[in-house]
Amino acid sequence: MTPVKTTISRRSFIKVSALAGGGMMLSFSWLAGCKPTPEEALTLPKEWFELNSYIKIGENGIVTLMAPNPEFGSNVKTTLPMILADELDIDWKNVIVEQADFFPERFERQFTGGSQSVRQGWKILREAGAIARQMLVNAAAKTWNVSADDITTEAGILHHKSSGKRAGYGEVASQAATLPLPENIKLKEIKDFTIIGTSRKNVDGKSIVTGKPLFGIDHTQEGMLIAMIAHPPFGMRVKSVDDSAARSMPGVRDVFTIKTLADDYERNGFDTTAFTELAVVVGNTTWEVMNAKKALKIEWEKISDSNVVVNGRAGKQTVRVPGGLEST
Amino acid sequence: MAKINLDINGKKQVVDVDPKTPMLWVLRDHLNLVGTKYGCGVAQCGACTILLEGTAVRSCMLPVSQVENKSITTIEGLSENGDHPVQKAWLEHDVAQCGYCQAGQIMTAVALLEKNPKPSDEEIEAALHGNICRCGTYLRIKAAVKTAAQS
Ligand code: FES
Ligand code: FES
Repeated sequence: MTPVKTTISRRSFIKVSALAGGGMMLSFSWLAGCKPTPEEALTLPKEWFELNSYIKIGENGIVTLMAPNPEFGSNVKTTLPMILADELDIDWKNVIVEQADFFPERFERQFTGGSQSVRQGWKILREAGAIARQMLVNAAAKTWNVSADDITTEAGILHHKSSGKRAGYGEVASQAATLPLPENIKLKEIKDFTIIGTSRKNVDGKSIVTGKPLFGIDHTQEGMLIAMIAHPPFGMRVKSVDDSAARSMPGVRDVFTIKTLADDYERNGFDTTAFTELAVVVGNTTWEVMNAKKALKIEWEKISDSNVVVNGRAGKQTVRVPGGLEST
Repeated sequence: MAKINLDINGKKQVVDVDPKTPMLWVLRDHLNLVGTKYGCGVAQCGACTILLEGTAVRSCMLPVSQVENKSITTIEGLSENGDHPVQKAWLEHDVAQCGYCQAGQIMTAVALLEKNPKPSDEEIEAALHGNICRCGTYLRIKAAVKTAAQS
């Protein structure tokens, strides 16, 4: 174990829900001789105790880990929680992974790209796991009235050797959730990793092979409409839209144009800003909207000469772009 | 609009839609069966593959009027609990990455194995070459089809 000072920002530890406090301490003996079987382990707990933005523990020892980044097929929804799980020191079979919503107040760097998810997530996720582990250790130390330094953990079990006391994480989770964020934590030595460095299956495997809704396009809600956009050719903008045919088609609710950038918008190095104006059709169902989009008669015109401010990594540059340049 | 009788995953249903509507959108928008995916809309990617009377077809180019009373199977109807041999093989080989193309891959593989329970490597490639996977899971797909063929 390598002792380190907690460095991740405290904002990751804002408690959104008042989960902590109500839990009851259970007797400490029942787990001693019986490890839960996988079937038992997969029973959902009655109550969750949140230790930080990334980790919730149920009273029965089941752990929910948040996958902070969007999944684009690089399996970060599996990989990033593996890092949390290893430092938290739990059994992977007791883990439920949940996709985090976009919530920059609670999570760091919530995007996927640049092959950076593991590299940049590494430190924060290890610390988040180690902090939660330390809080569980501290809770057990308090309850048993022993020094936290004498408590070890393994696969979700706390152990105090000289007294022989043992407890599952779930048993102290309610108390741990009320404790302050520890200043000092210990990170595992690389040789002690039990999950990192091993191969684990895609946590969504079963949902994928059974066709469960997982993707943006699968989202639906009461009263939802479908929108589609007609893109201009590069370097062009809307001159006029004749939507008379489209509007009279079944299921169509509205047709309008939108500007995608504010007039004084400063572009970033990574922005895709080729389409500054779009025509939009909104309607009831996908097929109706697709047909109405085809029925739009749009006249495009060249974007006039413009000054474009690009706010790149090394500072701002103003570039004079002649009209229609991007349509080449 | 027209009322059309459908037989989907063993269930008879009636939808009231434009008869030209592709099955893909009838499944997704009208029947809330979103396992079947939209990739290209022009029969080029395989994401929307379903079974029509056991044959793998592209639902994005299949008007609903053409399937009246014919049996249709989607990924949701392959098994009760995700334990169809092809689904099991997919899990064993951990095939999916993002998963977007996989419903189409699985449906094509199921149709292949129905007709040809012991396909050769070449036959697997020929049957699945029209199903595109952006994540590049092709090698695992092939391994999983072979495992499924043995069960
Ligand atoms: S969506 Fe049907 S083949 Fe691409
Ligand atoms: S698994 Fe991502 S497209 Fe095939």
